[in-house]
Amino acid sequence: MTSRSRKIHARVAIPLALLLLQACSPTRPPVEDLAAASRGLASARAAGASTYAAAEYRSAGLRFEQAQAAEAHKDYDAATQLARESAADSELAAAKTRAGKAREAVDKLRQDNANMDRDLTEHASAEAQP
Amino acid sequence: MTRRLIAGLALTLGFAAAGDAFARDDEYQRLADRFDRLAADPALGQRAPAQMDRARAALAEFKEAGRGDRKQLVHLVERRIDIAQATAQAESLESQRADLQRENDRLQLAIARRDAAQARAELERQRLQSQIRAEEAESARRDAEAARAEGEQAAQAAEAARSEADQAKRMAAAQAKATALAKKEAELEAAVSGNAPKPKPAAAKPKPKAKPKQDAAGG
Repeated sequence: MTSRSRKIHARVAIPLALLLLQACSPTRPPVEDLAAASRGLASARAAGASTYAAAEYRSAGLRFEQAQAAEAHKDYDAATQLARESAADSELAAAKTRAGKAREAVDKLRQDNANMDRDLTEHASAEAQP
Repeated sequence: MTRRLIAGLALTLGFAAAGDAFARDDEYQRLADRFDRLAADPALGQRAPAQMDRARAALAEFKEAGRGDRKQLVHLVERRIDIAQATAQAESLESQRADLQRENDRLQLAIARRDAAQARAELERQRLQSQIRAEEAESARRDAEAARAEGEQAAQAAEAARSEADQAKRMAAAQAKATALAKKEAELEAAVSGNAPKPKPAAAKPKPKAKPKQDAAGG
């Protein structure tokens, strides 16, 4: 190996080694991500997500538990990722819950209005009869 | 030798990167198409602007991300698009609910007005009935009063007639008595004067029999 090729290897190997070192270095525990996921889950539960968006709510809970387990194993990257996914699932569950409640209200109002409209129409036609 | 090795490595890396880029673009294109369909939806596309922006930003981040990051981002990008869609649906439904609620208020008002009009009409009907009953009662009372007054007048008239009849009877009796007395007087006068016609035996009072003289002398 010539001195030139040694220089080239050194230029490639050193940054690669540094990158690998950085990639393998332990990150900090995702405290804020886990807290946000926990808040999202609580908020979705309070909104009634277990009724209106059961699948998303279950997924959020499962990912949160997995995030906690990953954090316990000091796998902070996985814990961060799972916590963020849990938060997104909770947010989706809350949005679907909001939509589900609005849909229920729309259906009820539509029915009520139809009944009242019919009541008014029948009364008006009854009055119109001699 | 080394140069060839490096060139081969670079070529391999280049092909791998190109293949990875094509795969990444497929994934990105799939997500971008989902987002574009949502954005073009006439009912939902203009709603939930904040969530749409977040989905758009997540999509852009996904596009720029490296291969390793993309694996982590794909779920989040999917979720951001889902959240934007669900939020837009919720807003659309809430808008419908607001419209229906306004319609509901209008119908409730119409029914309340109708019920109030019915109640007023019923009240007026009852008032008229009550007035009619009161007028009928007053009329009956007046009729009764008139009948009672008429009865009293009739009784008074009857009493007056009875009294008049008694009076006439008494007058007739007095007249008859006066006539009888006048007749008797005339008879008496005639008897006193002697030329008067003898009273009819039937009319004359029976005289007491004269006592025998014997009895009068002897006695």
